[in-house]
Parts: sequence; structure tokens; C-alpha cells
Amino acid sequence: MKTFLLEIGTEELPAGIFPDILEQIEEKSKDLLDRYRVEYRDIEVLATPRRLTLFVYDLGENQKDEIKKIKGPPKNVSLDSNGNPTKALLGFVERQGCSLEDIKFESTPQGEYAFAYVKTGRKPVREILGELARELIGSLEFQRNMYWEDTKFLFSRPIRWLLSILDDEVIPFEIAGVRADRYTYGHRFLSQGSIEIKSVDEYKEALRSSYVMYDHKERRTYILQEIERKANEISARPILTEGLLNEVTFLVEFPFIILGEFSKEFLEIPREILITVMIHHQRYVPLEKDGSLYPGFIIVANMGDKAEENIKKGNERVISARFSDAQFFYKRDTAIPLKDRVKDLEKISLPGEKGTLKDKVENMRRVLNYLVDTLRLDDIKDDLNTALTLCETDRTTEMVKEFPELHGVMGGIYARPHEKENVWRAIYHHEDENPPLLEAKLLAIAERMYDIVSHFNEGYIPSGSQDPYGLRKSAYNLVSILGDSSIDVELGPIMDILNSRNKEEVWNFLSQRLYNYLLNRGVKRDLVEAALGLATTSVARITDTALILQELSKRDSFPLFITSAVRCYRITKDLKELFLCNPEYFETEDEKALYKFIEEFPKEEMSLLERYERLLPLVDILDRFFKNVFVMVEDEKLRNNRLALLRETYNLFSPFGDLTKVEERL
Amino acid sequence: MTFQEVILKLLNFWQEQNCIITQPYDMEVGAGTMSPDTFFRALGKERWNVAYVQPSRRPADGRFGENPNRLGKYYQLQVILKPAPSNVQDIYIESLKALGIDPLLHDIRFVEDNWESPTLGAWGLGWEVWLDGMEITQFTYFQQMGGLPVDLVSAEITYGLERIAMYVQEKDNVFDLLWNNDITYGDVRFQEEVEFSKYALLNGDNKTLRGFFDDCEREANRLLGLRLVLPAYDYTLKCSHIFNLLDAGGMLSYTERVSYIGRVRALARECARLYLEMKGESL
Repeated sequence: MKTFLLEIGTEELPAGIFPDILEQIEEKSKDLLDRYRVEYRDIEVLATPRRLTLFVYDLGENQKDEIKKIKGPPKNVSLDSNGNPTKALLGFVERQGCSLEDIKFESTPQGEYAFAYVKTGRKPVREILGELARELIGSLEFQRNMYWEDTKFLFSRPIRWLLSILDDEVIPFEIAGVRADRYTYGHRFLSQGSIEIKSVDEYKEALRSSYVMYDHKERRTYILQEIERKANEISARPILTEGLLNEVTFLVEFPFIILGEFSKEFLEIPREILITVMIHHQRYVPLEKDGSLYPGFIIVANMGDKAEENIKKGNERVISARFSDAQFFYKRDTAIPLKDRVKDLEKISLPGEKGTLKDKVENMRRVLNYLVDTLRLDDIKDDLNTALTLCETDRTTEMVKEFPELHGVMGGIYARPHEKENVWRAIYHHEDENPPLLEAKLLAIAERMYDIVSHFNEGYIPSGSQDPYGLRKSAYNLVSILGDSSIDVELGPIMDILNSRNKEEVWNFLSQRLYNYLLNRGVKRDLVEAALGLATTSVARITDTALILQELSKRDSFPLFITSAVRCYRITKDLKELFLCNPEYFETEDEKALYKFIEEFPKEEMSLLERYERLLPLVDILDRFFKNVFVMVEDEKLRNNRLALLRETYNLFSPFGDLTKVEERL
Repeated sequence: MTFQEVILKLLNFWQEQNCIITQPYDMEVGAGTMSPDTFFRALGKERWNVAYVQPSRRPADGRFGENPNRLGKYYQLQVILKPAPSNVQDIYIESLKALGIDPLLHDIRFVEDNWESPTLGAWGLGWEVWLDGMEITQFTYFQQMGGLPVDLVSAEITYGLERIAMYVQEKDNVFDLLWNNDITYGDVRFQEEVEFSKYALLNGDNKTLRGFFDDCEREANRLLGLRLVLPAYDYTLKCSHIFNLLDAGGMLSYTERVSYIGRVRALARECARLYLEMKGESL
């Protein structure tokens, strides 16, 4: 059994294409192998910033047989009276490139016909791997592509070499002016010149001895361990996110972990700023010791040993220059407190017809006042208004102009010495994905609603891949804040407050995010649709309903319950006029029993679980009703009366949403 | 190594790579890319290899000479290799060796950075090059210039000369750089930084600048009508610089800003289109 090895050698690929591109290579090569009918045991995908590598293990020698069945002439035309093949049949056999043994006669609705069973394209696998590799490389998708040579082939960065061998044999093909061969390259600096790979089993060892840690999983683990070991040496703890670890893994081929230091005086700058500079601008790992930031950082370098001293010194100078900038901004910013910056908000214009930041804040204030009134939050009303007044003022600070991703957090930091805790924390957290306190959640809700409605008003409605203002993310964030925290508030009136010109489109857009949100919370698709059928624009109510339906759907009684509701709905859905049910027209005990149930059903609010329990007896009552009562009788008066009775029954189910969407029925 | 030695060594290196060495363009530009030696030559099918220093003005970055790392004007060393040779990264690394930077003793990395100039209607993909964590070079494969897809892809290598000199001289303040052995960068440029910062950030005249912009735009369009593409482009550059001054002075609202950028881009596009048309090359 042979192994195929493909290495796409490139100039440095963007770290951001990983891990998506690895999944693409895996899926697309599996699809291609299936499509080309190639048998294999397993595949392996490996990557560094300069190479994408695919191993296909234990390939079949030849393509799998594929037998095609082709219809030929009718039997009476194919054979003469003696049962010998006619010219017609021989001609058919020749055209299909098969022999008479491959012909079978089978009956069809039109009579008996000749069928050829033809084995097709059983080529040796080595002959098709080149084409397969070309197709694979051509099918990879990147967010941004470039061309760099005459054929104008598009890829993430230029392809500079291709290694393509089946065991020890080169599988030739050409793409973007590069010919596949048996050569690879090691580390950009630590290894010199090309490396010949005589056979696939030499590849990994050759790369390892050329300073390439070719397996990204191994590299990641190694980096993580070394970071922890390095931090341990000084009894510190690394502040490491998944995103940062992934990024540094794809910024190096042969990692060296180096500890750098910075002057303690920078620690007077708030830690959020230091961390942002270290992570987002330099890809360093910040360190923490005894609960506070440690004046040092970890560099994941692509070189070490002899270079270590220079690398440490160089990076220390860079971070110190950046922190000096930040310190300078911080001092200037704190000289003017946020409350003195409020007047500057009207100098900052927003895109389109939205006016200035001051207008935005005043729009948000109307939303916030509505939230306070509806949710009866008078005790925090004043604090919320203070937080709102200040929440955009950090945009006038040097720090936020330099590091826009710190908007919100920076405002909170600058407000901290002057404001109550819930005020500064509301400002600090209102841009969070998941704000931890109610005040910040309310600010976030007001802001996201304002963003979405004001953009929709100006026609910036996301479609396809077009979403330049990131409204989908804002909307998802909005529904998850409302859904997670069960803040039960109708969004319709908020759209009115913000003068929405297209409420229905806004709600459809939000519903779509809510749909995804509920799926992510583990609710089944049909139950999500049912909950979305509720006549409400309260995300919390829809979420609670969906979660309860998900719980109820585990019960044995659930299919019966749904079937009952749907039967009531189906028969009454075409009812145009609303009739009142009149007990005087009842003819059967079953009508009376149903009516009695409805009359006695409690009118006050109750939980959905309680409602479910109380509605369960209906299953039997309705069952008997439908068995014994013919609803669609000739007599119009009787018919309408029975329909009215069923309509009222169905209304009892309406707090569960649109139950006709639920797939689970009897 | 002095500041001027850094420049001379790099120019010398690129001369040896068969680049022509031209002189800085004699107008206010924001980057080496805006010089006609790059903007026009990146279009069309002709080969072109060039290196030059370009003083680049960024009025909004001026800090009155107070900030050790920020300047309202600085020097770029710009290299265009068209078409981009397949070993262009290796050649670039050789140029660092010419500056005495041994790649085995440093951490040199190519980190994704995609370049875009909305005013020129231009973009490309590439990297910022890190030397021990410091960005010293911008490396770009042009894809579009003046709104037109390029025929032959150029590699653009832009060295930040002050950054590199600060690294090799181990200086923490740009004004302390040694220009030669007894004159500093501050001796040459400090007053300029102070005065141009005061002008651009505090004393620009809104009405005058807007008037200048309108006049230059009109003149560019008139020249385009006369098919005088290079003079028309000069006035496009003037528009771009005046826009930068308006922007630095905080005189533009967001909407106005977008509209001014659009006006400069429209001129740049028309220059690019006319240039190719006059060369008889298909668009």
C-alpha cells in the first residue's frame, strides 16, 4: 500500500486562515478521493506558516470499479430468430466498448431490452493523483486572495514550491507556474537550500532536522508547555487566550519561548491597556503574579539560541516605546474628566444621517427610560442615566483614538475614580459580549437596538456576505443578552421610540439571530419555530417558551398533546368570522364536556409547565369529541358553533407558540 | 551606522539588483506609493525596477516634536520590483544583511498586513516585516492601482528608515538619531516637526484649504480634459495633501471625510485610466 504526500510551499500565510483552511483541506480531499473513486485508509493534514501538507495513507493501486448500466436495443431487435446477436446489438456493444458477456436482457415496462454493464475508468491511482492535487489546491477558499504570476491563479499568498510524491515516485502536475517535484525547504533561516525527499517516510524526519516543527498540534502543545514552564520559573501565571495561542502557533515554524521584561513604572497604567498592547499589537503573552500584572511578557519567537539576547532586547525596546505612548495618552486623558468631555460629543459626527454622538446618546436615553419604566427599575434610574451620559465620552480620549478596541473599557477606567461602582462598571462592561451586571446589560440593549434600527432606517440592511457594520453580530449579541438574562421586554415599542421606518424587517432580522441563538442553546429546530410563532417581540419570552418546549418534548405525553392542539387548529384555520360558542346549540355530551373544560380552565396567568399539566386531560376529551361529533355538518348554525368551540380550545394552547410547527406528533 | 549610511547602503544594495535609483518626487505625498514612479509604473505590462527615498507627510501624525516615536514627516525608502521575482523575500533579506543585520542573530518575521489606499483606489496583500518585534518594512504585492487590476504584479518594499536607524543605533528617541557622526536627526528636522505640527493641527485655515482643494480638483479635471495626465496627477496629489491637512485639523465631519476621499479617488482613477489609454494598453 502506498502513501501520497503533497506539500504546498508558500510565502508566509496569514495566521487568521487557520484552523479553517485545515478543515477545508481535510473535507475537500476526502470528497475528491471519493469522487475519483480512490480507496485509502486515512488522511493527515499538517501546517506551518510556510506549508500546507497532506498525507493520504494506504492508497488503492487502481480506482474502484464503477459499473454503469446502459440501455440498448429491444431484445427482438438484438437477437435474430436463431438467438444470435444482430448487427444492432454488435454495434451497441462496440459503441460501449464492452463485450457480449457484459450484455444482459431485462424486462422493462416497454418490454425486454438489452443492457450493457460497463466497467469504467479503472485507471491506476498514480495517474490521477496529479489532477486530484491540482483540483484540491484550486478549490481552497480564502477570505482574501491574490495573484502574483502570469496565470493569475488566486491563493492566499504566493505558492513557491510543490512537493508531490507517491512513496518514492514524483506525481507531476503544475499550478501557478510551479512544477511539482520532490524538494522541500526547511526553516527560513536555520536551514539552507532545498531538501530532496526520496520517499514519503523521509519527509517528517527531514523537516524536523531542518528546524521545522511540522505538526501544528504538536507545535501548539509545545508552545503552551514552554510558556507555562517559563512562567513557572518566575512563579507567574500566563494570561493566554485560545485566539492568541492559535495565532502564535501559526506565526512560527520552530518556536522559541523567550521572557522579556519591562519597567515597573509602566504598571501604573491600567492593566487592560497593557494587556491590549501586549496581545493585540505585539502577540506577547502577558503574565500575572499574585493577582496583579507582572512587569514582563513572553515572546513566542521563530529563532532562539544565539539570537535570544537580541530578540529579548529588541522586543523590550519595542514594548517600552509602545507603553511610553500609552502612558503619555493616559496622563493627557486623565487631565480632563469624562464629565467635561460630554460637550464634545456633538463634535463627533456619525456616518450617514445619524447626526452626532450626542444624538445617539439622546436616542439611547429614550430607550433606556422605556426600559426603566417597563421593568420598574426606578431605584437605578439615576445611575443608569449618568452611565449613559458618559458611556460614549471615551471616544474623545487619545487612548481610544489609538486603541479603538478599548472603547467602553477605557471609559469605565476613566470614570472609576469619580463615579459610583455600578455607574463605572456599567460603562466598563457595556460593550462586552456578556455584560455581568444589569446596568451594563440595559446600556448594551439600548445601544444595540439603536445601532440596528438606525442602520436599517438608512437602508444598510445586511444581505449575503455584505454586513460592513457588523449588524449580525450586534443583533446576535442583543438577543443573547436578553435571552440569557430573561429581561422580559417587548422590542416593538423600542423600534417605535427609535422611529423605525421598517419595523417588520428589523424584527425579521432579529428573529433570524434569535433562531440561531436558540439552536445554539440546544433547542430543536421545529420547537424554535414554534416558539417564534408567539405573538410577541420579547426575546426572553420566546426563549423561555422554546426552552420549556424542549423540556416537555422529552415527555411521553408530548406527541399526544401536540396532536390535540394541531387537530383543533387544522379544522378551524379557515374560519373567517369569529363566532361565539352558544351552549344551547350543543347536541352531545362530548361537546358539553369540552365546553365545561374550557369554562373551568383558570383564566389567571400560570407557568407554561402548569398550563401543560392542566391541559393534558384535554387529550382524552378531544379524542372522544372527534370520534363522536361530526363538526362539518350541513346545518350552518351547528357547524359554526362547533368550530367556535374548537377555536376557543385552541386558544388555550396559544401561549406555547405555533404548535403546528412541531414535528413530533402521533 | 549613521542615518545617511542606512540610506546609502540600501540604495547601493538595490542598485546592484538592477534597480534604477531615482530621486524623491518634488511634491507633498503621504507615501512613496504616491510618487508617479510607483503609481503609474505599477500599471501596464512594462518591467520596472526602481528604488528611491521619499519624504512622506502625515500631518495628522505630527506631535510637535514631543513624542519620541511619532513624526508628521518621515522618510520612506521605496523599492518597486515589477514583475515580482519569485525569490523576492530572499532578496529583501539580503538587503537587511547589507545593513549588518544577521538573520541568524535576530527574529525576522513576515506578519500578515494587507495594504489599502482609499484615496489612490489601490490595494495589495503582504506583510509587515518584524525585526525582533519591531515593524521595519511594509511588503506588498499590488493587486489594484487607481481602481484598475494590475497586469503585472509588482512587489513593493517600503522601509521605515527612522525605525531601522533607531534599531541599529539603539536610540529610544528619533531626534537623537545620528544623521552623520556629528549632526543629529533633531538638528536637521526638529524645527520642521514643531512648526508643521502647529500649522497642521492648530492653525490650518478651514476656508482657505477648502478653496485650495476645489481649485486643485478643478485644475486636475481641466488637465485630464487636455489629456495631460502627469500634470493632472500632480494636482490630484495636491488634493490628497490638502485633504490630509483638513483631516489633521479636525475640520471634517465623517460624511465630509468620506466625500473628500471619494473625490481624490475619482481623480486618481481617471489618471490611471487615461495613462493606460495613452499608452495604447487595454484596460
